[in-house]
Amino acid sequence: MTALLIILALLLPALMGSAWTHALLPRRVIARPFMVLGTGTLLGLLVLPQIMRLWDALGWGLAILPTLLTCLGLTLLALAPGLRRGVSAAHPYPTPTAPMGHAERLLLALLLAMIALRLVTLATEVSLRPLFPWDATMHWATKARVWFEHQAMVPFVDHNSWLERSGSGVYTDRHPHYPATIPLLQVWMTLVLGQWNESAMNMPWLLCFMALGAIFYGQARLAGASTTLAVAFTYLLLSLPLLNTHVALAGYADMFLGAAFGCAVMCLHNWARLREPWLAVLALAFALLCPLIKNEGLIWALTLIPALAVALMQRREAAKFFVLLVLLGLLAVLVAPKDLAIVGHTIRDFRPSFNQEALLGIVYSIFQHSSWHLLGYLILMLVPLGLVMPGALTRKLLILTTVVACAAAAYFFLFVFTGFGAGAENFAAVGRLAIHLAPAGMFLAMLIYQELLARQRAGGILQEP
Amino acid sequence: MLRATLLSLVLAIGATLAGLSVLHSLRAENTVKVPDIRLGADAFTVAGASGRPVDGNLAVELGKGSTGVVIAPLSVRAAEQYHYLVLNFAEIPAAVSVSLGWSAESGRSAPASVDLPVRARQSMWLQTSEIANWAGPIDNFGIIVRGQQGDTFVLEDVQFLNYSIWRQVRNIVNDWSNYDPWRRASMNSYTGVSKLSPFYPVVLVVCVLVLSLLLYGVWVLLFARGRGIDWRVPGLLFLVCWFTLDLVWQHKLLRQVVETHQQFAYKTTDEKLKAGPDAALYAFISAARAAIDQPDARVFVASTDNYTGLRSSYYLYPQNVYWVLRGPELPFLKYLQPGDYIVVAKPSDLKISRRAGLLFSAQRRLPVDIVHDSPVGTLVRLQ
Repeated sequence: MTALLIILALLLPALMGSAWTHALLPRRVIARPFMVLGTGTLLGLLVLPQIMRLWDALGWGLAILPTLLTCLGLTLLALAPGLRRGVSAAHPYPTPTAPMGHAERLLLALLLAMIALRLVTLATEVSLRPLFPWDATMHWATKARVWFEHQAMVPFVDHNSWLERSGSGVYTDRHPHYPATIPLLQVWMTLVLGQWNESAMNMPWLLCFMALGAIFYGQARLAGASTTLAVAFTYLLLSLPLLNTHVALAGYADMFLGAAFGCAVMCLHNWARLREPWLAVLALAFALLCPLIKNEGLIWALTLIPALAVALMQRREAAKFFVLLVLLGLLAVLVAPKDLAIVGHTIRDFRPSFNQEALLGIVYSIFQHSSWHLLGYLILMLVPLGLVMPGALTRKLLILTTVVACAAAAYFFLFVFTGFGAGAENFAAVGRLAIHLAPAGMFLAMLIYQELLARQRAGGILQEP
Repeated sequence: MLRATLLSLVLAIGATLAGLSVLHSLRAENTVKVPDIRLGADAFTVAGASGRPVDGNLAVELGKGSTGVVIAPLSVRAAEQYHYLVLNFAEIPAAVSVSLGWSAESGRSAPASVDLPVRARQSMWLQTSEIANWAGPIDNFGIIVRGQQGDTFVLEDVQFLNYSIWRQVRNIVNDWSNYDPWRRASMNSYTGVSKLSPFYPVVLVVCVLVLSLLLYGVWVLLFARGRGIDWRVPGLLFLVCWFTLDLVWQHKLLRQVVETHQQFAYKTTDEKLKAGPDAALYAFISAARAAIDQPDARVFVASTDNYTGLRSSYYLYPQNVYWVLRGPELPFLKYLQPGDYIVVAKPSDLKISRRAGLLFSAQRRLPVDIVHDSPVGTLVRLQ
């Protein structure tokens, strides 16, 4: 019975989101099932908590019925016969090229087997283990526990406020103002089960992981990758040890943010190539959802703006826009009150000062530890090759390169030039924040490699096909 | 394409091993090669536990003290001359912890020890250059095993070995197939090594990858200059190297899943928490929660250990809990009210006088009622 309830609790957001992506996507989209199910599932997992918030704000608390009916209603609306389906493609989508040889089939089978084995392993681990990680029990599941008990989003305040108010009507934990999306997902699972269940409430993490794989594969195919290439890089993404750990020891928000930001980036890249409205809608939706998952999501979402500028403007205008953005940002930092909080931290916290130890921490984390297997080296090898190929990074992949470069710059700045460097020195935060960027980074790596192969077929990497 | 890939890879692996051998030779330039030493089970005596010979091995059962020590005399002038230390067990429970100790006769060198940072297993290869203070003369060598009463391990032998390429490979394979269960820091990073590991797996594999790419470049120059680089070859080389690391990771995940299954399968949440790493703390907090008779009572958690404080406060929810990470154990007196509960989870600087009914620290004394007491902590209520 518990297993059935878990499946139903997961199925509802997945169905709701998939119904809408089914309505949104044109009929003829390559790898459509993966796009619909993957994107829809992730969308559903992130939108469901917002529906719960809405009902709570309207005074209905966190009851199952309003949320259930809303989700079902939205699902039926998306499937309504009268609803206009996605616009048919104005031009043909990329189609598969040469048939597969025997060796390629073998490779494909091996990759799929490894992915399947990883999924089964992680599914077993996450379904058995009670809540384990530090932050999960410090400020994510604390809210879930209280909200489940009260069936309402009882306010959480900082420690001093709690003391001043004698704890009347309020609760406290270490980060009372962290976004509610993740705790609400856990509340949803426990509401459906009717009891607090520390293993079952973490099953959305497995679903998110699977959705991420489906999204990556689908977007890779849409970007022109062959089946084998798309599966290979999907395998590389899904086999990242730190990402796997965040599934097995579920309870953190980082993987969800990585999936949402990665999806936004992939959709933006493919929209810039194909100019299909549905991709723009998805990119926007996931960009808007990022800050609702974790505070840093706002920063990552903002890195899409320079890329959007590049997509919409001529390069010279986009460069001017960049400079203007940077100058405005600097002005804002200089003029704004030092106590002004941005993404949970004050401007004073962002005062630049070079931290060499933090830089070393990043280097060790990416290039020496096994958290990312060889992802750091993959990017290190491919980016220079991308620069060597005329027009690859500067034209064909400019939007994607812009986003990844801006996000990477923000990442390095945060750890190497601010007081948050301790998170890199002791490896406490540097890996977790890299999870946010890993799917986007892997997508860029895949596209550079794809470009290499394409130019090789066309006669040489120095020739633009 | 496949031939080029395979050849580059095989040669690169060979070159890497040769490079390791050269590196070792350079480091051990002045070291004299000495014969390997094998200490059989019969060389060991047992202390703190009961031991008996079994089929030429030594079976040791831990007693009430939960610690068993096996010691053997050794005659080594310079321990650093032995590159590998190998412990072979016919049988050893996974959950025990193993330490090594060694000493020389009076004055020749200080006694030293090392806790092995990985799960015990039947064959444990250790590179001695990674063991702190492993140098100088050794006259006595011991293995200390800590577990639970009734745990039994069966020692086959202990070997002190010189360097060879083949042993280097075995050491690497043994290290990579080590397993350590999830730790608190697992969410932040996966280093892939323990304190005694000889190499970071990523660094070693990258050496193979770079060499294989260079060798493929040579192949192209020699045999395929006209065709140029087939970029599928570097892609395959990269994939193979990634696979290697990923198989090691997958192996660790599978070992973990087996342990998780043994620990938590077919249990409710409450039973899981009572069987997990916080079992004692959870039992105490569960009892404390049951003893709190007001659902809206304020509960302050006091502990000098961050983990204990964190977990105690989490298990107390949905009570209205107050606990501060790296803060004072209790807030200022003015914020405390009669009827407030305080969970004092050990370790703590707060002391309780049960006879006087007082909770006191260096700064204050608070009259309290003892509500629930356990070896792990105490729940009190302010009068």
